Amino acid sequence: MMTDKMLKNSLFRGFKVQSRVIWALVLREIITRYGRENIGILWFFVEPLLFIVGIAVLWTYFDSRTVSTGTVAEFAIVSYSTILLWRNTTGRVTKAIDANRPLLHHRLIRPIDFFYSRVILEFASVTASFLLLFLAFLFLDISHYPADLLSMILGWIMIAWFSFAFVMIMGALSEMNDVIEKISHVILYFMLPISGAFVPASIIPEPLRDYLLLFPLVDCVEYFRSGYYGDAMKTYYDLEYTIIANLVMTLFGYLLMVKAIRKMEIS
Amino acid sequence: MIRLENVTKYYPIHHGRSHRMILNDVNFEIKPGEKWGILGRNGAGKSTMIRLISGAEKQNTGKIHRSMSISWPLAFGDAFQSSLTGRDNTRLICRVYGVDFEKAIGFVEEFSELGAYMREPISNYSSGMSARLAFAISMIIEFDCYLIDEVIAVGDYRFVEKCEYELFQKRKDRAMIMVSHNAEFISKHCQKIAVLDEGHLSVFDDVEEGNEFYLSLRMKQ
Repeated sequence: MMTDKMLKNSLFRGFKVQSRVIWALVLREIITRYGRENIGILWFFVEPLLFIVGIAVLWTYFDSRTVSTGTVAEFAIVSYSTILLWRNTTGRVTKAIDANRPLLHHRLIRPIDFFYSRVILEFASVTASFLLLFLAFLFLDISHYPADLLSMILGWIMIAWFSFAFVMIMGALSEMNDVIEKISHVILYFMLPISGAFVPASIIPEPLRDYLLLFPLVDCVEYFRSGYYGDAMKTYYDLEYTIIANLVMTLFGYLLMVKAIRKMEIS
Repeated sequence: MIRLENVTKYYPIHHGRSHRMILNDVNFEIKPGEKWGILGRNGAGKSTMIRLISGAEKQNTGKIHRSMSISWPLAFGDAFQSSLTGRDNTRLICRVYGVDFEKAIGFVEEFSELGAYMREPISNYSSGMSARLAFAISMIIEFDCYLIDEVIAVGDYRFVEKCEYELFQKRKDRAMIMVSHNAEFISKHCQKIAVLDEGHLSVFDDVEEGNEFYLSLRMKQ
């Protein structure tokens, strides 16, 4: 029989139980969110996919945007998809713990597991639709093969890392204060211009560019794009600074989350 | 063993400007196999105590030691997801606790007698139906200690008998904590009694003594 003591005895077992719980919550989330009706699980791809395609079309035909390299559509897919990582996920994690409180009666489920499961599902969904769309664009000759595939993959991971820390902060704040949930859309909206996704850093004049690059997300996105465009587009990023900034944000997010959970459990 | 040491719990009221004391410096210990009844009037803090023991909530001060595995409050529909079907809830619980779903679902379907409703969301259930499902799901995971909130007196007489057989016959070696305002139910199934009144927990090794104390409280009311 399983006892709390046995669980504590081995760290590995604790890890095993927690990953099992998170996986159970991810699968549960898939059913509650996408349901078993109409296209069901396919929404997993379709929802973010429609977003990126829609933006690619809008930018191509209705926007005076100019990019130094390639078409607007291929710029859109490697740019707008990065927004979905932090913006959609923020929407998912706000009040995630509060909404799932009844399940806390099960001692194996810890509050932070709700947060992890939603982040994992959202990241997987956005990544999968990006991959699908990118392959389709490759096939249609709109996009070309990445100049440096490894940098592109690492860039995506860096954006995901930033997004993880960012949504953890937003998630924790939303659990602590109802106001945050209500104004999160405002925050997300005003983050768009400084997200690095809309214009390449190369066309932003100095000294504005330097200030913008202080925001780690811009560096992450630029790094990701450098993997795709290679030398064809001038990109700006400072990896060392970005890693440190992400690390600090992650630690801050964790502390905030621990505090939020503690506050929630007590009231 | 489960041990509550100087556990205090209060809830904020008036937008946090003040608070209401629910449990005041409560000490309580339960050893393997013991059957405890906790009596108290409505609003005395019985359910809060259960939630603290189950870990769904945290105490403000004091410590709770747990060296037994503890169930969620039995027959308590709130521990599930109302937007999911009975089947999917069973699946979720199986996955969380690492139990084989195919084996469990057979038992749940048979015991709960829900038939086609197993594929309906719980939000469409009557309260009796969700209690039946909740109890059935509770029986697929084995615990050292079972928490029982407000009697399993749901459903018809035959179903209550079925539940009592599962719990008090098949699992008579386990520890149990039953919470109720019904002294009769508690006397029938418990060997020890604790009475909760105005934040204080009085512990009695003798059922009779505990019952008398509880009755005297009700007289005062």
